[in-house]
Amino acid sequence: MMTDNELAEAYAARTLGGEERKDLEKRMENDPPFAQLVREYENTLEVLKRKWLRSNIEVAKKELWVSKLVKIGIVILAVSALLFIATYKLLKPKHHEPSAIETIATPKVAVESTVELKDTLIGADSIKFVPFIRNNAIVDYPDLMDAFLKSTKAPTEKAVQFKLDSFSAVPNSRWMENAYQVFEIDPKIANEIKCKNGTLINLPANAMALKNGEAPKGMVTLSVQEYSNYAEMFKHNVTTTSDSKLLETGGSCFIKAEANGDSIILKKNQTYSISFPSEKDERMKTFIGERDSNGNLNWALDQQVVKRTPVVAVPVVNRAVREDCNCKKERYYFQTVVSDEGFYNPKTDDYTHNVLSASKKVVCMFDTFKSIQSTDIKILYKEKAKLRLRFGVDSLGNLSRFDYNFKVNKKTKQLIQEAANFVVANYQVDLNNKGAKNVILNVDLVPSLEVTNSKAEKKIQAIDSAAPIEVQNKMQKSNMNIIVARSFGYINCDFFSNQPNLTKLEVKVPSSQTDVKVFFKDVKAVANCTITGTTATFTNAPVAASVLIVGTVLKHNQLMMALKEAKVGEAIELKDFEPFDLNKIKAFLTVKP
Amino acid sequence: MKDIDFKNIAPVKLFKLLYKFAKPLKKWVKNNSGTDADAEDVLQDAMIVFYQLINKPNFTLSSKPETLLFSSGKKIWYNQLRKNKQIPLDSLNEEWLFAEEDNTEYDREHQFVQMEKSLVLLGKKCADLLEFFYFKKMSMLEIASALDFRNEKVAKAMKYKCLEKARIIIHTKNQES
Repeated sequence: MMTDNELAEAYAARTLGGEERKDLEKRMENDPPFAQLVREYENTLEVLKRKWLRSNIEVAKKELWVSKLVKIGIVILAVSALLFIATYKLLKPKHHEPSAIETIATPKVAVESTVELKDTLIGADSIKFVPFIRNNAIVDYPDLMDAFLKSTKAPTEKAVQFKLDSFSAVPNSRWMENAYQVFEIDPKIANEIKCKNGTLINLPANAMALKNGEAPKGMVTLSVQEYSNYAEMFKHNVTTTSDSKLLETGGSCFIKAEANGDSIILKKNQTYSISFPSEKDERMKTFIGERDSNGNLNWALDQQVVKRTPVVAVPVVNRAVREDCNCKKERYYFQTVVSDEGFYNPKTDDYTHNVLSASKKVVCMFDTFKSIQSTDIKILYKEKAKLRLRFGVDSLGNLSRFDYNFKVNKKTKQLIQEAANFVVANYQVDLNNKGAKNVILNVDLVPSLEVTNSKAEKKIQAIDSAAPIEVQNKMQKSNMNIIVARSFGYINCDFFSNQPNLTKLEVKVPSSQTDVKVFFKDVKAVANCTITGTTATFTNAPVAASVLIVGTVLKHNQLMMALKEAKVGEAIELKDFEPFDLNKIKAFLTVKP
Repeated sequence: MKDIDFKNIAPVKLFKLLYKFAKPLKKWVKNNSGTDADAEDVLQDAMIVFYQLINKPNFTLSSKPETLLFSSGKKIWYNQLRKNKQIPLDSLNEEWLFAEEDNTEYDREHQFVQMEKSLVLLGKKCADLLEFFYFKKMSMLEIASALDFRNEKVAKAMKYKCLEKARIIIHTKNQES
């Protein structure tokens, strides 16, 4: 049974049915105090409605103001951007004129930013040859010589006619010197250099110096060769072996830097990163290359980089989140167990796996767990919970998959998953035998810039010096192979091929002067053969691997070539030599391992 | 603008639209002895009248929305001037006389403004509770969660208490005026 007040309120709020309303209206005619009560409720609801409408008006007013401010902001930004571009164009330094055989990229100066790299330099469109020079001789290769004669740049050494009656070796050490993609960069700012085949070089700001340690004045010219495919590798005589052991490559390049004719080196302990557009493989390491007196390239693992890079990228929750908290009662701890991929041990030719001292260290704690960006996932949790994080770090300091244990007890509440720095891939909830919830999340983590632990901070700095962390994040998301390098020169991103069964590859050739290169079809690897008599040999070839063999030799001063597709283990002979045709070789080497 | 169904539009969206027609009314108020603050008050009251009118069951919008807003605002302001006995002589024209004939609704409007002001005494939590229940049509369970009541029963009891408090405040104010 409803009281008079309840009836009056229901009438005023129009929640009664037609019949009930009519009954009440009749009652009001004969019951003035009740009619007065109904009017009071009607007035009350009317006033409340007006108040609600007024608050809606205020909201509308506020939203209109905000949209007005946003529009003004956009206009101001657009005008500033235009002014900036105009100023930049006026102040942009002039670049040196390209010589006939040097192709110069349109240089764009990266915008200074400590957070984000703003600009990308685009590589040259073409690379031209200069003739082979060896033993103070210019060799008369018809098409290469033609290219050379058309160029305006004179050879650095005296030209002498190369006299040979029969076969002679193909020289190779000098021909890459003028075939660069050239970039002009401002060394004071961070630069991301995009080469024409997709290699990205990320140089931090102020990373370079002259040999005397001084900072370069003005712009630095960065010359790059990219060995992104077999044709490029052939052209530049690039192989992928380390002391005759086969390496599988994810990309390689040559980088040199100069300022006003002076060589530029990286500062001590300075690193930078290179990302190669190849299928991502966690086994990739940094190798540095050196050419011997014959121009053959040998790669060695850059052990310093391997040792430097197991970095604990600990922070999971940044300071902004912690400062955002306002609840003093609840307190959560993050604990980590960190392991690295290990150091290369030359004695055992293996990696030693070490667990860093950060094991089970409390790396940060904060008072509440508050979302600042998104609410990807909601988890039930209880007060005074302890959170445990476990994650792995690969040799480049990138975080690999990790487990995130969230143990709870006592009072149940709702937790909005922090998603500022990591994304929950999936999760499962178990009840333990005491009834507490145990939430296990599988999380893809992107390391944060913010650090809460001084030791971790130091380690983070190592990553920072390798490449800005934003760049690493970006690279991590991309599927490129990223390596950290600490010098210029020949840099290769590869790993020792772990093909189980190796055998000797032998190729019969007509002359001991023949240059024989083996390109593997199933893995990206190239090897030079050594010649004994008329047999070219590569000792560590995977059994039954499919290969492309290119033989080159000089015959009566004429460059000849022979191409052969074969399998390791077969009897192989190069006998059908024909005049050198680079396009034919390129077409022959178009394989994608 | 004609295609907009003003009846079924959310209040905030409606008021944002009406703000686009605000200039002539505000200018008119200021030309008729009003200050900037008066102009804004009149505009807001006119918006509320507009909302109430278009939500009447048998009401159809025959004129342009800006015309309705402007005429509502004019009547509100004339009424206020009349109450304060500040009618300027040059305003005593046909329009004013017409406005005089039909000012009951605007008298009531003035009373409501006064009663609305007295609602400060209600307190924020009570005001929020009543707003959630009557206008945002939230359930007692949702209200309990939003306002930190232990459960829906507590919320329901609080709603009754708050409504009673509001009724007494408004009734007292009404009697005073």
